[in-house]
Formats: sequence, structure tokens, C-alpha cells
Amino acid sequence: MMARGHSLPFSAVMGLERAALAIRLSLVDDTLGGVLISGTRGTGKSTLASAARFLHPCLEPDDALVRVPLGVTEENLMGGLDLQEILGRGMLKTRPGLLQRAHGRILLIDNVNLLSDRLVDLVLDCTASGILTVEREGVSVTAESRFKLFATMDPEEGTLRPQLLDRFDMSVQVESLETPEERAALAIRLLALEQKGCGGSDVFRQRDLLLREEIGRARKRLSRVGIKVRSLAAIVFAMSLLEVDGHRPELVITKASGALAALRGRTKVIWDDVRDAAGLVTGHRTRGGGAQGPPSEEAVMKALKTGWGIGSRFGAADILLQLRDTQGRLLEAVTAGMDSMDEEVRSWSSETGQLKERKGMFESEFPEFMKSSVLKKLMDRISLTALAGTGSKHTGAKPSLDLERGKRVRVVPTDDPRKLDVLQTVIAAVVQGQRLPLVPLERSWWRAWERSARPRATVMLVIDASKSSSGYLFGLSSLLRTLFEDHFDPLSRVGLISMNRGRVVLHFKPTRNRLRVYGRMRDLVSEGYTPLAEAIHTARRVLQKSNTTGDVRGTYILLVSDCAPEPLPLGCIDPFESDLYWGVRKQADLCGMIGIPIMIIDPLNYPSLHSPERMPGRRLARYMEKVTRSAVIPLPAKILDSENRIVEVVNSIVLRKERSTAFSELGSQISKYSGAGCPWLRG
Amino acid sequence: MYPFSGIVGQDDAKLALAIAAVDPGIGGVLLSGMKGTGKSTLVRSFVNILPDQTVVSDCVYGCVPDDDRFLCDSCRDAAEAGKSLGTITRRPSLVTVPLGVTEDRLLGTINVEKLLKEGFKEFLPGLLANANNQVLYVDEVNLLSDNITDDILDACAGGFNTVEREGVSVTHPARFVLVGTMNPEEGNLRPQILDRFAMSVDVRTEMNPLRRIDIIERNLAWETDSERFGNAFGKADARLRKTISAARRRLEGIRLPVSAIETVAGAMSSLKVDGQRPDLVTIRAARAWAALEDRGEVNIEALKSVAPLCVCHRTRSGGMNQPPEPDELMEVLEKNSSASKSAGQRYFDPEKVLTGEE
Repeated sequence: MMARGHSLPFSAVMGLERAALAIRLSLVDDTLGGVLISGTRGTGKSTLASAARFLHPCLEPDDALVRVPLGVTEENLMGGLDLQEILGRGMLKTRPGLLQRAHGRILLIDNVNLLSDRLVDLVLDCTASGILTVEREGVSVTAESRFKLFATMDPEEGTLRPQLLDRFDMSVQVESLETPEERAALAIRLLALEQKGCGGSDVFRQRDLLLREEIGRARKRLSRVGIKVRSLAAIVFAMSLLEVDGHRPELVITKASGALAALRGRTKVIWDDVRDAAGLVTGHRTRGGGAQGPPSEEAVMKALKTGWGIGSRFGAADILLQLRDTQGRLLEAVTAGMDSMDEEVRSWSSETGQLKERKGMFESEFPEFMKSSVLKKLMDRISLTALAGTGSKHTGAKPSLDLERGKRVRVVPTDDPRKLDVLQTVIAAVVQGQRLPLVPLERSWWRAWERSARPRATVMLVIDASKSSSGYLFGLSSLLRTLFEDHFDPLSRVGLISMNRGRVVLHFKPTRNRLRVYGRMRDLVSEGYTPLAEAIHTARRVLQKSNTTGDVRGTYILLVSDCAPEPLPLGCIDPFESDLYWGVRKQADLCGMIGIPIMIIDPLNYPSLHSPERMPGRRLARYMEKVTRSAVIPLPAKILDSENRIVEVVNSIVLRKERSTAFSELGSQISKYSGAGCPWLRG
Repeated sequence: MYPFSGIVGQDDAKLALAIAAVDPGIGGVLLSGMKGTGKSTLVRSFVNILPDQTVVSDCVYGCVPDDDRFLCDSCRDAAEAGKSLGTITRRPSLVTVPLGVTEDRLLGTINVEKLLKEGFKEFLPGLLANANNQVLYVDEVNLLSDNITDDILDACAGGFNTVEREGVSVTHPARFVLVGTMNPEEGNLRPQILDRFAMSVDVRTEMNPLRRIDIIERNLAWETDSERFGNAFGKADARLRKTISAARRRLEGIRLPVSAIETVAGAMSSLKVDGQRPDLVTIRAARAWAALEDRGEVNIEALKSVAPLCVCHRTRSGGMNQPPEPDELMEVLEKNSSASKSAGQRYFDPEKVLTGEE
């Protein structure tokens, strides 16, 4: 079979051994879901994923893989009406989409983080259920569609929402090759393949064939693979020690270690299988109800070892559980058994007073968890809980702006001939029984695309990390997280400037890798004075440079400060008229002229901000609000304590829920200012 | 069209374009510089130095019959059925991506007119289809909207464009030399896109007054009598075209010492340049340079001549460090070259690699 394009063999890719393993496991066990490979550009992740076609156990390479291009439309992804049948013969027929064509094959999505959220959602829905449902004007189709999902992404280019991440069964982080020897070896290999073409029967093709046969054998062996109760206990224990969310991870580890055992020619799962499988499954899972990020690899290993130790106490009951029935279906009993065992383990440990022991063990084995201060940990928890809380609440009600350039959502009747979509109008007419030609076009057929978009913004965060702000920095990072993750398009960019020790520090130019920005935000030290004018100047310059279209829509400065530049000159009577304040005003004027709004969050003095007030800081805030036509954003009272500070120390978990609503309220308020309610974003 | 040889100076940019002409598989060229430095003129005249190409005569994608890995469906079917493909010779052309291009126009979409008139579904090829085996030119690439650049990169990655839009599903070859120009004053390029350009050149304003005079004179001459001007420099362009086709023929025979590959790998590794692409690009560009200069093998001189074009726009340490300065790059290359000299003179042999002997 002639290979198309630059299709490198699977075994020619170097340095991605773990990713290759995940792909092979997924090919061994059909019940294992998607594999996500993430890493920087030029590491060969796409090459590897697309070479998986050579290993498909049943299909020819050219037939085994369906690629989802970034420019795909929903109609083509999900399936829809067959235009030729409709217009040519006036018959309502459907046409299968990519997902239906991928049934029994590999579905490859390169740069999955650049695909629109909605499409990723649809794909993952289909992965989970194996059923595809299409509803269109006049027809509705349900089809079976089971495929292997392999996806790649570069986290530098934007992150995937945690809800989407969690629906990949396995994930692998890949990195560039480091040593000169490896780099030279890979370069030689690629040059050779490039020069001599990849269609021949080179050594790599032969290796691919061997791998493919190995997978075929493993698939046959899979139905005989069993796992000891002890191993199962180790997995369950490890996951509960790490507080990994949901039961899915332990189920996936069990399945993956079974597949691994089969691949390695065994019918019994051993420690090595569990260890290697766990690494592939846990790298992208949230923990503690979303309060913590994924566990580090060392942490997983430690937890597994601990779990293994505890599991061995099940000595008497150490029987081999068969994972599958004779038809190769995963045994429900095993799953149920795992659930009950989890319960058993919990009750057992608490009954014998070993909950404490477990905790002690936990803490002594994970000193790194204890290093960070209690406050920081709690703050993280609150912020992520808030995130989780608002996330679910907002999935249905994300602010959807009717922007001209937004993504197409659905077809709606229209009265405005300028918005008319010819194709959709004709389809509507034919569906209603009309035949071509359609002259005149009756108004009842008119159709247009309804578009929606979350505002895609470029935001420069200017944070006052001076003495007066020590209280709110932690609260702030969680607040902004809520804001960006729930109210803005995932491809929004955020930059960070801090005013600290009297200096302006540019930490990040606007980047899509927002996680890095949040991380830095927590590390800001608070001391020194506030050089406000210089900070606004820097922010504006950076925004103007990084904004590529010259179009400042969706570009703004988010200033978190009490707007009191320091130090004031001695003997100053009216600070507002001083040079210091004058400088800030001039900078604000400039921003106003260009059209970059400065939105201000004043974390300290909420109630008095809107009352007639002579404080120079507040006058300055008001001034900036006016000249840049933006808003001073009031903080909801619930986030503030009695002294009107963002609550800094959290001593009561009970309040968590209340606060998460407060966060979400704030989020929607901010998005009101930054989105629908604000003329400059609508353009 | 202004002749390529009529452009004064800009040697780096000319070299990068010539290398891309010799080995189009290396990847794209990015020219960045202030306004009025002649970037666009360079690119527009670039096709003048490209040798003629032989393509299938009635193929919309302009398939080149020699390379069976990159044929469109119909050419491929014909080739597999043993039919001989009729060919014509054409001048390669420049396909320009306008700033306001829509996704439909770029990728191709359904032919609505035909569908409505005849009830027949047909694919209307887009710019990427036109650019196959030719040059795709993006002026002000930094101002192009994100989804358009993503689409172009998606097509660049595999050499094929997969269209799934408005009920048509088509995969067609889309292999082209991507040439972009930008003015860095107006904004930066995303690193992901920057990385896709194999070579990047800073085009600077000419500061030598004599050359500036030259530029003015030539421009005036061009404006007064473009035909005569074109004839005068057209000969130089034709010579360049010949040199390039000769270099293309030589390319396969250029010997590549393993020590040169090790030098590049060692340099990239100590500079912590991200990804594996820069290594490959540098080696291939050095080979093309050796073919252009009619040297028998790739040596340190070849590496040093092309490395600044290939590496000085790439991020390092996972995007944390700025691209290396040319001086630093030269120093590191020199150091690694002398270190790997001792390995003896072994040459890269694809056969041996593919049979697993090495």
C-alpha cells in the first residue's frame, strides 16, 4: 500500500516512549478511551499520533485513521443533510459526518485546544457514549460510533478546560530531546526517511509490523487477563490517598494495567503494569473536588507503594479476579467490587483508628505537600471550588454575545435579507416541499446563522503588590481565574505587570498560557511603593505592541489597586494636583484616546468608592473611569470582610459555598462590564 | 514584475529564498523588517528565479507526476491504473493570501452556484489548492487572524489539506513554499507560527549611501522604462534560475558527514533550542547551500552560512529564553565542530539507516 504524504513510521519516532505506550494500550483494549499528548512544538507528537494508523490491528493504514481538520464545520463533524440529494432530487437524506466515518477507526485531532469548545464537547460526548445523535431541520439520526480518540495540544497555545481534560482516559506530557546524541540520531533517521521516501520496506516498517502483530496477540490474550485483589486494592488506595476525583481513574488504571499485562505477554497483572499504567492515567486529573492540580509522578509512585503495602494485608482474600467475561466484555462485577472495596477500605481504616495513621503516613510520605503554607493551600481550594461551582452553573449560561464574527451555532429564521445564508434558505425551502428554482424567495424560508462568541480578550493585568495590598493577593488570583476561565473565550490572552518595591516589573506579555500567569500571581511579594503612572505606561505599550490587528477591541488593562500612587512629596496639600497624580492622569488620557479602557478593581474600599468622596485615590479612579470610558468594578460585599478587604484567611470551610456564589456573581458582573454591556467590546 | 537580481543588497534574504528554491521541502521563509525595505518586492520577484516545473496538464491541484506521495485522488487513481499522465510545463506562480481572506476561500468549500443551478455537489478549490507545488505568500502575516493562520499551519504540517465544510469532504495535496513578510513594529508573531518558518531574515534598511543611490537609480529606471530594465536584469534572473536547477540536480549527491549532523545537534542541544525541527532545517539548508555553491560536501562553512537564518528566530528552554544571537550561535557551532572532528570522516548513508545497520 502506497503511503500518502510524509507519513513516518511509528517506530521511527524517538523520545516519546510513554506516548507510544499509551497509544498501543488504547489499541489493545477497545474500552480504553482517548489519549491526549501535550507538549511543545516540534517534538513529534502529531507524527506519532498519526503513525498509529500503522499499528491498527484490523485495518489497512490508509483506512485506519480519520483526521479532524481545524476548519471543520459542525455539519461535517456530526453529519447532516445531504445537499446534493436535497437540491438535486428533492429528497431528504442525511450524510454521515466525520464521527460516523470514524466508527471502528482512529480519530485524530491535532491541536485540540484550538478547536472550538463546542466541537470538542461534541466529540467527547460521542466518545463517552459511543452513540451519535444528529438533529436537523426535518431529520433526526442516531448512529453507533465508537472510535479511538488521539489528540495533541501545545499548552503554550491555550489550555483545555478541566472538564474536557478529564474525559481523556490517558494523557502524556512530552518534551524535546535533550542530549546531543539523541538529537543527532533522530536527525539522521528523519533525513534518511525523507530522502528515501517512507513507502519502502525499511527497518522501521518492519518494526511497525511486529508491533502490530504484538497488539493483535495482546487483544486475543486480553480476555484471559486477571488481576489480584491485592493489586486492585493498591490502585484504589493510591487514588483515595491522592484524593483523585471520581472513580474513573481507578477503573482506567485497572483496565490499562490489564492491557499492559496482555501486551507484555502475561495473563496476570503485576506491580510493574500497575506502576506504568498509573503514570499514564493520572497526569491530567484534578484532586480534592477540583481543589488541587494533578499529582506529580513521584507522588503517584509513593501513593501506589503505600497502597501496595496496605493491599498486601488483604493476604487471605488474595484471589485472582478475571477482568472480562468470555466475550471479552469488561466485568461489571469488578467495577462494583472496586466500589465496595473502596468503602471497605475506608471503613476499615477509620474503624481501627487508622484514619489517623493513614493521614500520618500520608504526611510523612508527602512532605512536599506540607511545605506550602496552610493559607496558600486553603486559598487554592477555595478558588478551585469556586471555579468548579461556577463552572457547572455557567455551562448553560455563558455570556453569549451576538458578534458578527462569532462561531456559527444554529440556523434560525430571519427577516433581515443582509444576514441571509443562501444555502440554508434553500434547504429550508426544499424541506418545506419546494422545488428548484426558488423564485421569488419567500420570507418564510429565509434562514440565517445565529452566531455566538465569548469575548476573546487581551488583558494586561496590572497588580499593585505594594505594602497596602498584602491582604488580597491570594484572593485575587482565584478571582481572576474565575473570571477568565468562565467568562472569556479560551483563547484569550493575559499578561501580567506588577508594581512592587517601587518598580514596575513586566512578568508576562499577553500569553494564552494563563496557568503560568496565575502561578506567578501567587508569588508576588508585597512591599514598597506604587509607581502607578509607569505601570500604566508599560501596560499600554505592551498591549499596543502585542495587539496584532491594530484593532484595540477586546484589549484592556485590568488594574487592581487602591489607586494611591506613592510616595507623595513632602508638604503636599492636594495630592490629586501633584506631579505624581498628574502623571497617572496623563497616562490614563493616552489610554482613553487610543481606546484601551482601564478597568479598576479596588480591593480595599468598596463601599466608599461610590459615595461622594474627596480621597485623592478615589478621585483618581473616577478620573480614569471617565477618560477611558470604563468601569470601576464594585466587589460584592460577600467577598469582603468587615474591613472591606477580600477575605484573606479562610478559617471556615462552611463559608465556601457562599463564597463560590459570590465569586460567580462577581464574574458575571465583570463580564457584564467587559462584554455585552460595554460598547467597545461590541464594536 | 521587478526582476530579482535588480534588488540591491539584502543578501541574507536572497540567500534564504534561493535555498528554499533549491530544496522546497525545507519549509517557509519569513522576512521581517520595517516598511519600505523591499520585502514585498523580494517576494514578488521570487518566482522569477524558480525553475519551470512539469505538472499534470488537466489537474486543478497542479500535481507533479514524479512524486507519487503527493498526488491528488484523481492523479493517484490514474497512476495506479497504469495510465500515463499528460503533462505541461509551467512557470511557478505566487499565490497571495489577502489579509481579509475567509476560511472558505482559503480552504475551499462547496460550489454553491453549481449546487443551486444543477443540483450537483462539487468542491470549489481554495487558495491552498492553488498554491500546491508553488509559493504561498502571506503579506503582513502577523496581522492575519488566528483561525486563518491555524488553518494554514494545519495544511503545512502534513502536506495535505483536509476540507470538511458545508457537506463536502475532500483531501488534496497542499505542499508549498510558505513565504511571509511582517513589520515587527505592528506586533509579534505567535511562537508556534514562527517555528513553522524554516528560515527567518531581518530585512534592514540599507545604510550605505552609495547603495542607497543605487536603489534610487534603479527604481527610477524601472519606472521610466520597465521593459528595458526588465530585459537587462532578466538575463541575470535567467542565470540564477539555471544555477538553481543545477543545484537541485546536485542536491542528492552532496555528501553529508555524520560529524556535521553531530555538530548541529550538539549546538542546538547546548543552546536548548525547542523542538527537533531546527536541527533538520539547518542540516537541509546547509546541504542546499553546498549544492548552490557547488561544494562536494557539507562542512562547517556551510553550517555557519545558514545557521543564523535557521535558528535566530526560535525560542529556547520551552519558550523561556530569547532566540540566540548570531555571535553566540557561531561560537557554539565552532566549539561543537572541533569537538566532533575526532569522530573520523563517516558519511551519512540513508540506506544504512533504513536497513538498520546504523
